Amino acid sequence: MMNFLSGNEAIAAGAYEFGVSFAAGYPGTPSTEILETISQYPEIDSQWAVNEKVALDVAIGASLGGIRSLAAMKHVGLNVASDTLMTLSYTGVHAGLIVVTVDDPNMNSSQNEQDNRNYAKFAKIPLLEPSDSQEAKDFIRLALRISESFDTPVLLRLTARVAHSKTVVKINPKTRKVKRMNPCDGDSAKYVMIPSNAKKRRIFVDQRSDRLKRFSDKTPVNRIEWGEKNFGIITSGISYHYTMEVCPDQSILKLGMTYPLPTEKIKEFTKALKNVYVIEELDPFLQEQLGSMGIKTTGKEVFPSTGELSPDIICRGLSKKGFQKTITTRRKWPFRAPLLCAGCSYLGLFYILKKLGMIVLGDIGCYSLCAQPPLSALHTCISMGSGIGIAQGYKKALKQNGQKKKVIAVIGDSTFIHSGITPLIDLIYNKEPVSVIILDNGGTAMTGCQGHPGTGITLKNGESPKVNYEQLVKSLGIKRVIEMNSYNLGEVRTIIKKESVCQKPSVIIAKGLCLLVAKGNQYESFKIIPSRCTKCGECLLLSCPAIAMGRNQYPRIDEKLCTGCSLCQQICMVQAIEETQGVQKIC
Amino acid sequence: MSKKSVNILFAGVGGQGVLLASEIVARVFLKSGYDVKTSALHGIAQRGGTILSHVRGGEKIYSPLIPHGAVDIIIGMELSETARQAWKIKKGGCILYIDRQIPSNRQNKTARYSAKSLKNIIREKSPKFMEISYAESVNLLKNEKILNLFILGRLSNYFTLPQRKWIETIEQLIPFHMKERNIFAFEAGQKIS
Repeated sequence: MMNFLSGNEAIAAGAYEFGVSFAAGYPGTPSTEILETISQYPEIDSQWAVNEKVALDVAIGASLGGIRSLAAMKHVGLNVASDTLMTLSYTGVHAGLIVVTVDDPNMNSSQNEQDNRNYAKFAKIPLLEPSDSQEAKDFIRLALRISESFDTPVLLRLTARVAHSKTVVKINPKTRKVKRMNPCDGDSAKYVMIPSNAKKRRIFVDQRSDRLKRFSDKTPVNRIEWGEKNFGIITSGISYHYTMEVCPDQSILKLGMTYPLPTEKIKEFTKALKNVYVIEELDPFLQEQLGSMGIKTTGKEVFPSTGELSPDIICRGLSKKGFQKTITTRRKWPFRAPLLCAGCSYLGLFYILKKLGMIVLGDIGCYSLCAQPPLSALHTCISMGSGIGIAQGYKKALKQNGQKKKVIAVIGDSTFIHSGITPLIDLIYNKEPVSVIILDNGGTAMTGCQGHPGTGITLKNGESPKVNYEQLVKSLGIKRVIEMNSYNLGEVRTIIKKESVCQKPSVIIAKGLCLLVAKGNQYESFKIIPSRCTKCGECLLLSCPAIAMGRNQYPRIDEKLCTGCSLCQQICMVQAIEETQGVQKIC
Repeated sequence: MSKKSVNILFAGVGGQGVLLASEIVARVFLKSGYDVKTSALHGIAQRGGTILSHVRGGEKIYSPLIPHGAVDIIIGMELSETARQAWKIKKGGCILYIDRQIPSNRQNKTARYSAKSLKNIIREKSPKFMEISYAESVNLLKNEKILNLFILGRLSNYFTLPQRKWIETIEQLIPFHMKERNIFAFEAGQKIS
């Protein structure tokens, strides 16, 4: 049967068809839909993990217990799981184990554009790069085969374009091949990586790499498509389809397995051709390996190493043997920046933080958008949970410089559980008077409000015990734990002002439900009364998408966007904002 | 560049139903026996950012991204987003757009282009443009959330594909309680002259 699937959905279809029985991950664009789609198969035990490392650890456990398993994450998520991954390479696996990483060239929804193919080389594990949804599905089968016959985790790397493009896929909805193995019990030489065992396994890893190299030469996913021989192209992933769009008649070496590389096939291909181009997104991962084999190619000399490629960029690279490094746009368009939702609980809170002139150290989440003007109230966003640690160090430096300013760390509820608890313990242990605001909006909002241990909702919409933030942080040794309602700006202002002069560490739990969770709630929208409005523009500083400059420089509230949160009414100094009559629903 | 393919580019803003409209077209092409690829990045753009969706149908499609200058039809749901993409249109291609403007920076009016200048950019790139009035459409439909299906109805007139396939696909992809008004919008769109 033919279906029309995104790369992420195809991974899920493959997991079902080829007998993956356990899957875990942490939500993160562009990988979120892998787990969301897998969760629709009752045959697969699937779950959100608190973070990517735990997801991989649980998947390893499932593999050791004898079932095929998969862990899926976005590219930066693999950094979190990399501690486990590097040694997992030594231990190998019992039942097949796949690590799926989805990279984000061009940083459409990410803080960096690291090329995770480097992890395969770093960890000495095989790497597969599907180029469309059909391959994404087929490569699950191949990955499981490699994993089980070579005793290794397999890194399956997609890019956002492959993950989010939809292409035609052959699926067999009724076939599912489950292979059950007896649990592995007590092979300590293989799974206990104390130095004496690890040294032996390290030798195994090199032997495995040699065998994988030979496999890479044999596998049909690395194939030569002979054509015109004036020049040839070596490519992988989405770049293959861009290349086929531009020059379908040229000789192409299409690589599906890009680590280790098929050395014999590469030699056969390059010997027959005078000029060889390597077309790959991001790092010169293939080109450098070819270079170390003594094969000279043209790659990053003419194709950019940042952002996504496209048929047009490839065309330019091939024709001019050069590309313009500066981004040229035809017109200086006003950039359409992503915005916080109208009525988001973060709007008022960050408005107050800005008004009070706080130094706000944050990290990844919807609140990253608070760094944009006019709020401009967030001063760092580096990695998950890093705001708390950074705040501690910043405070130390302020002290040495003789400044008494209070430093605030902000962290979302899901991010707090992902990696905010350990830096909070460190903060208490090292006694820095930093205030940490946990932005509890009842979900992993940025990726579509997935549940997490703080909400007690599981991936399959089941219920679990909810983490009690207050009890948790009190037990860590924080004496000042304050809960506040983010929609009550009077309360927010009083609490933050008080904490900003108190020289003790504190945790403020800011409650305000994400509007994606609050869907269907009733409200009355607001309007601005022009006769009372003084055009001071204060309400615009809230940066609520529902409030815009209207005629004659009077701000105007868009009734259709307004969610009746009342934040603008609370900050209006001349009481010019009133509720309208008539109940509506958040949709 | 591959021949014998139809390339449609949807441009709009998060929340306008661009992805649903492009999914419907793709599935109708698929049902009609063509190879199909679509591409749209989503995520952070959900929150009011630019949405761009490529739909390609034909005998054999390689790149999910439409090469510049190969776009047959641009479906513009918002003026500045349409004008932003207008230069990608093929010579002789058609831009079908709604004359609606959603400011990209609501706080700052000076950062906006006038509707007139945006329309001029569009018309210059595509003399075969077709403009749909936002005010009139909303007046007719009484609901701006189904504008995507309305414009899709007009788009369907460009192809000689059976009506049944369009309706079937819409029924498959749209929840039951919203089906009726979406089909109404689609059929109303087909009647735009």
